[in-house]
Amino acid sequence: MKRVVFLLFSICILSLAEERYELSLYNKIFPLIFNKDKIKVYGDKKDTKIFEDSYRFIIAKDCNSSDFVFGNIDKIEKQCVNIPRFVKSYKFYKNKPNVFGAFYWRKGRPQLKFKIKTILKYDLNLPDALKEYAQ
Amino acid sequence: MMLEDFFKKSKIKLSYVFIVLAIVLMGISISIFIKYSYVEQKIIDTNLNSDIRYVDDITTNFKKLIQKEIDGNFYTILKKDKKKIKKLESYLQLFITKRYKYIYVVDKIKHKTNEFRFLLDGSINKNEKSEFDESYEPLEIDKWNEAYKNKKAIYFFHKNLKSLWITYLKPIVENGVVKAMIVVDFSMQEHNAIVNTLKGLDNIYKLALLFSIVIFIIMILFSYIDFKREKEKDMALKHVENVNKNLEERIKQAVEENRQKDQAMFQQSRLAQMGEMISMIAHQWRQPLSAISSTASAISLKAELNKLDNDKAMELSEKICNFSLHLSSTIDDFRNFFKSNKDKNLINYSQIVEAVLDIIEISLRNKNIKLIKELKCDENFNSYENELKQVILNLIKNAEDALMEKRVKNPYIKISTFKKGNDFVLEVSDNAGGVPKEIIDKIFDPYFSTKTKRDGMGLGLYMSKIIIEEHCNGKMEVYNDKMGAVFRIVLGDDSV
Repeated sequence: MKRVVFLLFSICILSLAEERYELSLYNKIFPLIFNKDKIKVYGDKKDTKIFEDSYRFIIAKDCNSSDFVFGNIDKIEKQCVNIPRFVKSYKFYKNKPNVFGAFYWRKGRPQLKFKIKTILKYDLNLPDALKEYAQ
Repeated sequence: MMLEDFFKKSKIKLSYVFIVLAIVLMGISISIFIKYSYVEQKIIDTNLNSDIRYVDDITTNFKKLIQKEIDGNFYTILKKDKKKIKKLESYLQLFITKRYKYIYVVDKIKHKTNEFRFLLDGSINKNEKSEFDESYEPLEIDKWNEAYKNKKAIYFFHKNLKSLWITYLKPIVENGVVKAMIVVDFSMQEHNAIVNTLKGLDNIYKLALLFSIVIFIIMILFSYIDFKREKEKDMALKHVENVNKNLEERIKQAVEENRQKDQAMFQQSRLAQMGEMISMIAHQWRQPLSAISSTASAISLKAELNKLDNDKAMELSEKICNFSLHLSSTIDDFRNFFKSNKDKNLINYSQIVEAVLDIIEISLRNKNIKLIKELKCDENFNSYENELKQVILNLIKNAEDALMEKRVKNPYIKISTFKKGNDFVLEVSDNAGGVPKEIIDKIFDPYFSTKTKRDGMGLGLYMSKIIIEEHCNGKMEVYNDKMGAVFRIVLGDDSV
């Protein structure tokens, strides 16, 4: 019983820590990539929930009014196929042509990746600090 | 109590025992703590090494298996042979548990970069499973590069997860080149539980050590206080000893001074008595001397008138001889009277009183002082005869002086003796009006006198009290009755 409680507690703490870590990362990288102080983001509610409390992000109502699409949901892809997209899994990052970058956890380690070709295609900015993550 | 006696006998100071005990206690506590710390570290190391050895054994077997299955460039062969990937991953999956969470194989995309890629992954969960050729950027990249560079297995704790996990890296080396690296991420939970238990025990020991340090300090403090107290006690004792020595010397000095003073007073008293004796001799001799003178004159006159015949001359010269003998006997009486007795002898009051009156009765008669005698005690007792005579004479003389000074009509001196219980009592009283109340407590003090300085020195009553109370072991007191002062001498029976 003690072990289970300890495990659940650890998971809660870790997931909270991961969320904070993610938002802090997004607050840093997206203003640089889009060269804006306020960025409009569109995506599934589950995915965009993370931006709700951030002053740097505005949740857009549709793809066309947003700067980028965020998340892994497939239906979004159909509507917003020409909008730059940032995903949260390697699978989407690898297979979707409009995905310019991804952030996900692999083996408990954070993974940040950018596709140079897509960034250039959408005329986005990749600062020097992020170039080491570019492929 | 027995322990206290032991310390007193052995002359070991209690404070030193306290210090030794405190040091021993402290030494034992520190030794236990050091030994425990050593054992604690040994347990932690042994436990960790046991885990690491197990992981090393697993990875060594994987390494052999992979090397057996893949002959050549790992990436190229696996890229072409998906079945081999599945086969090898199924082996890795066998060891995946809650404790051994991630087991996977990676290689470097380019040797001089930090980019790795997955070759094999034992994860069962789809969300956690990586794809073949998926690029991978590990944390603590320095450690990974170190393992790659040194071609030796390495393990390290995850810094960001409070050391909950350990990563074990085992390079697969062929012909001096690292072909790939087996990675195992395993939980430290059980190890940490042991470490935490030991740390808890460590805290108890630390607390015990702290407690013993406090005890040590308190014991040292008490020893210091006890030592200081002992020192102060010794100093106080020395001081008291010095004071006592001084006191003894001062007492001796005072006693010697008193003795000298007493001697001087006795001398003065003796001189005064001598004066009185001369005065009394003068009284006693006046009549016989006058008789001798008148007899001698009669002889001379009869011889001139040629009427002195032989018979008359014989008669008158015999008279002169008798008077001379009387004078001589008076001298003997006085000499015996004032001679001091060294030994007690058997006496009684009547005999003493009569002897005193032989000397003073003529003087009293000449001054018309009536003498009343009520001698009711003829019983003998042991005492100093002459000393007692001197005291009674002194009391009668004082009464005579008081009666003369106050010019009392029909003066009298009453001497009474009686026995009260076992005590022999003598009282000398007069009708001179008594001793004034203001001075009655002081009349036995030395140099206290109501007489003019020419007549008294103030030593008579003082010496009388000393003789009665210190020589004869009696008691002397004074009180006033209706007519005058009453001096009472009470003597016990010392005839035993």
